[in-house]
Amino acid sequence: MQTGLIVIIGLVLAYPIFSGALLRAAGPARLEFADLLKRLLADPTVSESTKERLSEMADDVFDWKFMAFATVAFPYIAFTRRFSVDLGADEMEFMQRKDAQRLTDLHMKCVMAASPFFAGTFIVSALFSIVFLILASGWSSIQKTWADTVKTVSPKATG
Amino acid sequence: MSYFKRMLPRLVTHIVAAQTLLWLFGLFNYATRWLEQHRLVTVLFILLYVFIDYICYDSVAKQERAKYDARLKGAALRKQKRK
Repeated sequence: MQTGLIVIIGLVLAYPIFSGALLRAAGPARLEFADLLKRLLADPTVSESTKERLSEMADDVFDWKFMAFATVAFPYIAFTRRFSVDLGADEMEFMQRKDAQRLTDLHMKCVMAASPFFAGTFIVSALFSIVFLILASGWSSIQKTWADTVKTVSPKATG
Repeated sequence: MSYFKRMLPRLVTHIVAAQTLLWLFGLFNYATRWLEQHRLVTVLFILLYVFIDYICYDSVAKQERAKYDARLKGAALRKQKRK
């Protein structure tokens, strides 16, 4: 038991070192996210409401609280399939675009790197939801669930 | 001072989450007892954690944030909430 506790203390002390390294490793993904975000915000084919949501995503990439909220929000949205109500028609259409899907993937990577501990709790809770979603309706549902999680969590986490 | 403002909510949230995990694995009482019995170790541990966090996480976060903000400069953000 004593050894176990020493291991836990070691892991806790290693956590900020690991977090810093992960944050640095996610740098290229974050810069690609910034470039893509900039391009989409300037794109006249993207609706204004979508651009507002994209703007909210800009601050999430360093927010450690985001994954804590997402741990709870993602399974809730997955099981209730609330994204079909929350995401408007233009946002659903936007999610079909390759660059929008890339932005979603990059956003997920960046916010996970911002808080590895809560990324871990998120992975555990999301795993069950993902199995459920794949069985129910495939990968695009996961991206839509993530998009709705972002829409739900962003104002709470950064506000 | 601004470092502590940034670090304290993060630290408290992580402690609460870690306590929940310890409780889930049935280790909460044992860990609390151990920390009470080894107060000096606990204080040194917290100080060391804060020092490591400042050097290895916070400074990296600041550098990365600066790079990201520089790249995002000029973006037509709607409803600006950036701090």
